[in-house]
Amino acid sequence: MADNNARTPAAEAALDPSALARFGRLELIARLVVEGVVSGLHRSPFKGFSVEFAEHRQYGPGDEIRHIDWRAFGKTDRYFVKEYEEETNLKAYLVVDSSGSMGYAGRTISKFEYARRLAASLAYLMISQRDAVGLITFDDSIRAMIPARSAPSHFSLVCKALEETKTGGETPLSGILHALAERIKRRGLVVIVSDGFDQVDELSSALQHLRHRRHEVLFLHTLAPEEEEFPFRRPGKFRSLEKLDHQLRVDPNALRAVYLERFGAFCGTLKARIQGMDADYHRASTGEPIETTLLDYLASRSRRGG
Amino acid sequence: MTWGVLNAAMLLGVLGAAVPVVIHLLNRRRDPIIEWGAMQFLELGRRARQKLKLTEMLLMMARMGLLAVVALALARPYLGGISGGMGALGGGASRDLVIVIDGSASMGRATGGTTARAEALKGARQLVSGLKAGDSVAVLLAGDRVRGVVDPSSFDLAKVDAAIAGLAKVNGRGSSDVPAALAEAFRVLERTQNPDREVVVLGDGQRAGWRPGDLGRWNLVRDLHKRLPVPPRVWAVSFGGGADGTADAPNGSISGVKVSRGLVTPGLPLTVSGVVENAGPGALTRMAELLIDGVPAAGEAQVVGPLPAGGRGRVEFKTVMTAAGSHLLTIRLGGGEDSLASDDEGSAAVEVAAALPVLLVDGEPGREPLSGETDFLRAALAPSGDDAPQVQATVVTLEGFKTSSLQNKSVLVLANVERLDLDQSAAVARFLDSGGGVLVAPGDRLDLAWWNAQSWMPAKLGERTGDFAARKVVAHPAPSTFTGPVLPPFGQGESPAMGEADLFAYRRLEPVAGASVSARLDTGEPWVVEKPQGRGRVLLLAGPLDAEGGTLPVNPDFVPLTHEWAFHLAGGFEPRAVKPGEPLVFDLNPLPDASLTALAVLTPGAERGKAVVVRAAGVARARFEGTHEPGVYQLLLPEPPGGSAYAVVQGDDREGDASPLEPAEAGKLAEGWPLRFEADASRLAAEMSTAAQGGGGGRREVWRWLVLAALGALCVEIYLTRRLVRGQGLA
Repeated sequence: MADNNARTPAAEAALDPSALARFGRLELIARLVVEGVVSGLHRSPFKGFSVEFAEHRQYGPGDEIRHIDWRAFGKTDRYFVKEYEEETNLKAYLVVDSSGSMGYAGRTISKFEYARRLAASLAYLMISQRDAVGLITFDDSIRAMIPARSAPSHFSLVCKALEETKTGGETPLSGILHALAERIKRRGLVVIVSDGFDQVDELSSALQHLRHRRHEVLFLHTLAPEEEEFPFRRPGKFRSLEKLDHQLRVDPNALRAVYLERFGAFCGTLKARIQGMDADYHRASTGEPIETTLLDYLASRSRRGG
Repeated sequence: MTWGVLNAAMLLGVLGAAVPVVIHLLNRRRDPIIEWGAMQFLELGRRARQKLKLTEMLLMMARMGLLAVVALALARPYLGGISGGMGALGGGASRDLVIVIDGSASMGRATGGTTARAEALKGARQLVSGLKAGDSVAVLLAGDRVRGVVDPSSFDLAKVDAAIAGLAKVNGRGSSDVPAALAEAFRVLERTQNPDREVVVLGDGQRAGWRPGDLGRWNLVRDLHKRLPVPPRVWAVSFGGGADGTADAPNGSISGVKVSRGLVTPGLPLTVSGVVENAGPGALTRMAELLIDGVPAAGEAQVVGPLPAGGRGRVEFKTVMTAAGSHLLTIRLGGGEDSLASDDEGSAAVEVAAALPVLLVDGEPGREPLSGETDFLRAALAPSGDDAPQVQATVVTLEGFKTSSLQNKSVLVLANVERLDLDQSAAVARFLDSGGGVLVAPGDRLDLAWWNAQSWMPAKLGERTGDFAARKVVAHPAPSTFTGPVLPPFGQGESPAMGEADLFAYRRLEPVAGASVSARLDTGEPWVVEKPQGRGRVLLLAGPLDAEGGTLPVNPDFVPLTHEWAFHLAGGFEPRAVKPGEPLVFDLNPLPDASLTALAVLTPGAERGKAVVVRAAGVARARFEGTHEPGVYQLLLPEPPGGSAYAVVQGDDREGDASPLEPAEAGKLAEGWPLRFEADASRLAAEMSTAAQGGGGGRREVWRWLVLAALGALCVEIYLTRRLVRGQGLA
């Protein structure tokens, strides 16, 4: 790692997570990504719901100024932040889509890998802000649900679970989300990292279900640049990543216009539906460095005033 | 309606229509497999898929059609037997015309104040003036060899007209060869492009030129005609009055002029002979005179005749040449009216050497007078005391025989030579190739294995009969077996002297392939075996030419025989008989300056040609390729010493036969292919245009239609491609 850093400019290494991918584990990647991101933020974009005071804590970067206890400052000349009960601002659940279509990797890393890193980065970011993070993994139905915790050691657990997840199969995300809505009792933030290649109606109804349970929903729409641009020239056989026996011989030139039109319509509808239910939609293209995606999202969230 | 293509090879291009299919299949096999997630956006409904397939199918067909139509257009198809309408768009009936003008001597025969040549040229110019833009013309002059006057075809009619007009100055020589001229015309037409093609032969209808007896060649001509992409119509028109015209005018001719030997020395008697023919109606009496280098030889005129009509007579002059060099001997007929002047003289070239240079290699030099191997021979060839010997003999020993010894020698004698070393044998081989003659007289010192390994030897040397030392007679030459050009005169008479010569020993000779036995011994064994080698000759005797081998040196015929052998062996340097089209080669002696690359040649038609100087291994030769017509070619030699070398290209004797082609023969020649003999020249143009309208004529090219079709296919292709790329109607 030191060698690599010596060879590549540090700034580039920090901005380009795909370069960092060589260095090792998900955890490390997430840390590096977040270190870069946090320095660009004035304050935590996430905030909790509890109002019961628990204790004072020394002010740190990322804490909101409004939480500084000015009285304590008057007495001690130091900044203290009031901490509230349950030690958390937020309970967040990460849902990473591991269906076959997420396995697509064009010229970038696969969508799933991207989603995994993005989720790990979010988890690290939140845990470092003492927010609780949980993870839901699933195959046909919810397989395991790592409850939301904010302990720093919890981050490793989340990363390990993410690393063990493999893509494959044709799992309708909507069903999982419905089940999730039933299982999470306390309201919190549900972060879905997915390409959303599902029936738009069913997906939006599942998201609506979550909203109905008063969960905050963040849909990180993970797409590969090839899916957005369809840059293929030569005719080829397109084999489904979900149903392996399904393949189509396609002349991209003949089909590009139709594809782009349909794809655009799908993305537009999904975005409109999600935003219409007062949930967050953010495009996470695998062509962008994870840092940028994360920073963009956090910045836009901050602008909206949390 | 008939149809065909002008460029059949291009039809192969139609196979190119398969290219889109092949590309499709190849691509299909190499289709990359893309693991893809967003499948739902690629799936089309059944209807849309069918529509897409249909569009793709149409696109492929449009592309295939485009290629096929372009290939078809390049093949230049035509439709025959149509007029107006579509034909008009097809581009008119342009034609390619080849005019073959008879260039034989008989075309110059004067009848009624004009000649057949003048009439034929007028006819040719009329034909050219009747052509329109886009028509092409080639003009060939049919002599013994066919000469292209305008070849390849030209579209510049003014240039062609000027070229034909220029032919008026050229005097015809020799005979003509119509089948060869037609074959040449077909070759010209192989490269032309117009859909209508015609060949017109303008001649005097002389039978000799048409060669009706050469059925094989005529079949070949028909075959060539058939193989042309567009077989032309062939017309033959004769001028000059035909049969009745030739009968009126008296015409004597001389042909077959020969000299008794082509290589002589000053003072050696020489006979020039020729055949006089009377082609005219009445009896013919003429004066024949001999000209040496164009100058009448004093007192050498003879009266020939009277010869009856169609009769022949022989004329012969005896003369002696005085100056060394190349000389021209001409027999000219004079003293009477003659309708065809060009055949009134005939020539032959003769080479006069100062003295024949002979090199004698003595394999066993003697210490006593006349005891050496070549002493008798040298004495016989160049007797001491003769101030101007006809042979200049040089004797060397085997050790003294160097490569340079053969320089400027005509004959080499190897007498009782054991064997030659590598350099010597290579020099002998070169000497033979360049025209030298070699006489081998084997004696008692003989390396049999070496001699029998020489490829230029006329016979293998076998075992020896008799013993030189015993001096016992074992054989005599048998005069009755003497053949070939030298020996027969020595075998004539009741008891020829040669038959008396005794041989004490001889070798058995086994002639190799290509060798001939000129004389045998009375034992039946070969005595003299001869073989041509390179340009020269090799003569092998069964025994030696000295006194040890027999009594030959004291035979009364020994001296003339050795002289005859020497001149015969030097015959490789005689001017050779050359036919039209064959190259003339002149030996340049002395060697010219190294900077000299070409010499001027005057052709029989008084044109100046160029002979290229070729040098190899100490020899220089001038080579002239342009022997299109028979007659005398004069090479102007470089100064010093200057002067000329002459060569005569032999014409075809058939030209003397003035009889016209019989109608029955003409009918036979015209069988099975579109050859038509048109008696009336003025009707030719009309007949040609009638033929062009009907029958196989009226051809129209249809490539313009195909180009339109290709454009259409291109538009469809572009439309469908755009439609596909835009995905119209699929969403």
